[in-house]
Amino acid sequence: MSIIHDSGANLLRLINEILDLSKVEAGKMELVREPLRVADFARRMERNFRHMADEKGLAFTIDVAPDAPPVIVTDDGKLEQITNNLLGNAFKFTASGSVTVAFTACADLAGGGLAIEVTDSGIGIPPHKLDAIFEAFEQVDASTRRQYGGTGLGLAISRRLAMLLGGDVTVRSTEGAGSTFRLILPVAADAEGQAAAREASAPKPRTAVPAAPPIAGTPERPAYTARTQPFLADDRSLIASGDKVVLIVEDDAAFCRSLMGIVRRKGYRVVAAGDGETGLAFARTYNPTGILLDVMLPGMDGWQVIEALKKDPATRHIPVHFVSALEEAPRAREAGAVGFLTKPVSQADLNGAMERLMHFAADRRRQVLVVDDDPTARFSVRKLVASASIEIHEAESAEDALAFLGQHEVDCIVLDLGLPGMSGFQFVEELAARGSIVPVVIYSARDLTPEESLRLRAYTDSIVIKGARSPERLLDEVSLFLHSVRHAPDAIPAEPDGDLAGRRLLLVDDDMRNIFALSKVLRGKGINVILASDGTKALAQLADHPDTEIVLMDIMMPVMDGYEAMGEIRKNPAFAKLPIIALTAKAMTGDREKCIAAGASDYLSKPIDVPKLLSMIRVWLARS
Amino acid sequence: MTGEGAEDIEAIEVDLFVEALRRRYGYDFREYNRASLTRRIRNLVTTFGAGTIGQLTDTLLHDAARLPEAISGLSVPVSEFFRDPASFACLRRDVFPALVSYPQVNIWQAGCARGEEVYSLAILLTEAGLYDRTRIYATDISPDSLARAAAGIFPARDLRDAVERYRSAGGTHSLSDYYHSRYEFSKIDTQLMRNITFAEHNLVTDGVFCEAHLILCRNVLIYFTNPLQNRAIGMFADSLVRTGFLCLGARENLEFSPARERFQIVNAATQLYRLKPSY
Ligand SMILES: C[S@@+](CC[C@H](N)C(=O)[O-])C[C@H]1O[C@@H](n2cnc3c(N)ncnc32)[C@H](O)[C@@H]1O
Repeated sequence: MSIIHDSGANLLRLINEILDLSKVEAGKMELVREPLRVADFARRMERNFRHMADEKGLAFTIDVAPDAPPVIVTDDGKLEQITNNLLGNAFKFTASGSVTVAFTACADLAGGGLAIEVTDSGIGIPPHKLDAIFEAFEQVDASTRRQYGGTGLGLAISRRLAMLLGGDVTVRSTEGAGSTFRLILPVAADAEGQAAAREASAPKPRTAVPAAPPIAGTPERPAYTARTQPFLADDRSLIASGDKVVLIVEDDAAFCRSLMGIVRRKGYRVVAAGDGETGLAFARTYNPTGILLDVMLPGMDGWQVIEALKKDPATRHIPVHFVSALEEAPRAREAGAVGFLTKPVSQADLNGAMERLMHFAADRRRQVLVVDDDPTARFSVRKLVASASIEIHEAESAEDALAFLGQHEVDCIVLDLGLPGMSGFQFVEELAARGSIVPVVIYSARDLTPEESLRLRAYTDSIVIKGARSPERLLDEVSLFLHSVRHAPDAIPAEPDGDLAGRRLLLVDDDMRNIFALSKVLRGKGINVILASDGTKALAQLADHPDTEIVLMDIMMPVMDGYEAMGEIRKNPAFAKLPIIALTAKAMTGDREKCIAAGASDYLSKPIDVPKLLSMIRVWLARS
Repeated sequence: MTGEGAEDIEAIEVDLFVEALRRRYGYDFREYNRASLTRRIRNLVTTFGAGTIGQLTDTLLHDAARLPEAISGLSVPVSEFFRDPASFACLRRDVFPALVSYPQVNIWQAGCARGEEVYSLAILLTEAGLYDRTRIYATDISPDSLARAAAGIFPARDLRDAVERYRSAGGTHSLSDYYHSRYEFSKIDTQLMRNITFAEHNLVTDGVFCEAHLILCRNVLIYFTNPLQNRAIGMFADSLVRTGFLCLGARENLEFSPARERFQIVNAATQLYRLKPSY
């Protein structure tokens, strides 16, 4: 295929394009899917556009990342039509600088995908126009159209074609600095094609295509089987690979219909089920991005559905939001739901529910905020962590980071400690004070004193000191947070407790994990917690804070152990009645007596049972 | 009386002895390897000057002061400096560089006996420039052994004999930099002792007490039956930080432990494992 340069051909092109667009929209476009070697395609692209780059004096590079799928199954002709359009635009709107193309793996698509990013250093697109450029007949404005020519249909067609191929086209742009158009395509649009793609990308050992999961209801309840007739007219026949699907399980047809409307307006495909068995089967078949689930359903109820979903490795990751007539939020949380709405619900409630679903969706791009005043350091973290499924934001001060966090949700923060203005220490404390639950990974250029790491460890257990082997660990820590589905239940903030709020407690433990976990719980109850990591430091803390009301004392500690520390505390008449609860990992006969003899008021064995600890604290605070 | 009958009586006595220690003092030897436990109880009978295991049991039931001596007799505190040097070399090479990224490093050495191993470790950590930020918890079931370990005094021969092993473990200084000898004894330099916490901890009954980046438990699990080994290994896995290291003795491994899948092998020859990050 050749590129049309001649502006005299404009009219013909417009007519062709209108025909194309209407064909795509009528679903009449025929696809010929065949295995395509990505490297070959990249070479062809280079051939097609090299002369144009040379003509305009632009740098032109094409990069195929090692992780890019070697082969995809797609319609070669349609793909080329899309990339020609994207590259044509890039060259058209760039007067100086460069055009680059990057082929990478794309984790956003089920079954694997290829991303082709076309980046230019051209005029860019103003933010308010970003949404519109994919509409037919839109271009930035009339004057650019005159300057650069074009029908304005190209992007609309490209996007439609990409969707037809099971992918999509998206754009990021900074006005005046350039644009990046990102085309994503599945390795193959279906399982058969995926196998073909795998086979074509020899010499990897072949893996068996996993057997399809059962589609009927759970075997334990044969009496009630899933229905195959649609419960309501939903979008299941329209789903193309790459579409995001939300599953609604709700037996009230009228309510279900209004939920469907909202979900569709947000740009998702909807699949609806009127009972639990069908819902469960659909979750397995359609692998939705999120599920809205009613509790009271005919047959299996919502609790049973979520339990089955969480048990099955194939569906465990799908976030579930309850919408129910009865208020049972705690139970929902325990079952692993990301949220709970009680009917009747407002539009705003539902928007919130959708946001939560999408925030926890497994295929969402994870957001990482890197806070460091040194641009080179930020850059190296970006290089280390960046991937197709991770978006990185940067802040050069704690103040900037806080401002950013006020506007955006992030999944993880990578924090340097030595910042201008507010320090990293103050930053984590401020985050905690704001009730933030975003995990923080400290990436420090210098060693920390034991006091400093103690101070930090109340807020995070991920501290990485920069050094030769540190990047590896930083990556481990960050990916742990990004891929953990476990942090969902944490998202529900602890409630300050009336009777414990404002009480002053000294926590003495050398086990940092315990310090981290306990201080979080205790501070969540509104308790003022001060910390010490061994007996000597505990005595110093008490000297500084003589108004301390209760002490939690670990026994096995370096420097001065808990027995000795309690003995020392009791020597001071002012602390003769201070309640001290000993926390100990030792469970032998006589260990309890030893603690009491050493001066403990009470005793609790590790691992700590938190409710028990809290009631013990209440009892001792009430007595004194 | 037949030999078989005699064995039966001894088995009964061992059962009663074990039961007595457990109910009277909380020391639980039920899940120890019976054959070697029986051998050590027989030795105790001799050192206590008791005629039978039954009489030994009687003494211990009524005289709590003699308990530490008995525990120490049961606990086989044999060790040596830089025992299995390949294992230490492997720590130096594969583990220490990874520890550098932590602001504070905790090492738990379970079953430290009289301290030979923990001082060997402290020497290598010093040479790697890591010792300042390291805290070592050296634990054992035997208060006697712990007291000896904390004193840091050894027969001078023990250290002289260790020079070769210190070299093959990758030691870079002179071993004599780390102790002073007087007469036939050597005292470990106090600088080496400063970051070590010795504490009683029983792998049978006690729980997790610290967050460890590295756990050494060498030549202890061999005395345990499977269920007890599994308990200990589960506790190690719970104590370790994500991707923390576990080093076992040359004759021990994780193969049959249910916690096996929580670990990956770093070096099979030296039984070095690493906790998998769990997500
Ligand atoms: C043979 S030594 C091993 C010494 C050293 N780790 C080495 O490899 O050279 C075994 C040690 O395990 C200790 N031990 C036995 N049972 C134990 C238990 N239940 N908890 C803690 N330590 C125990 C013994 O007291 C003894 O000191």
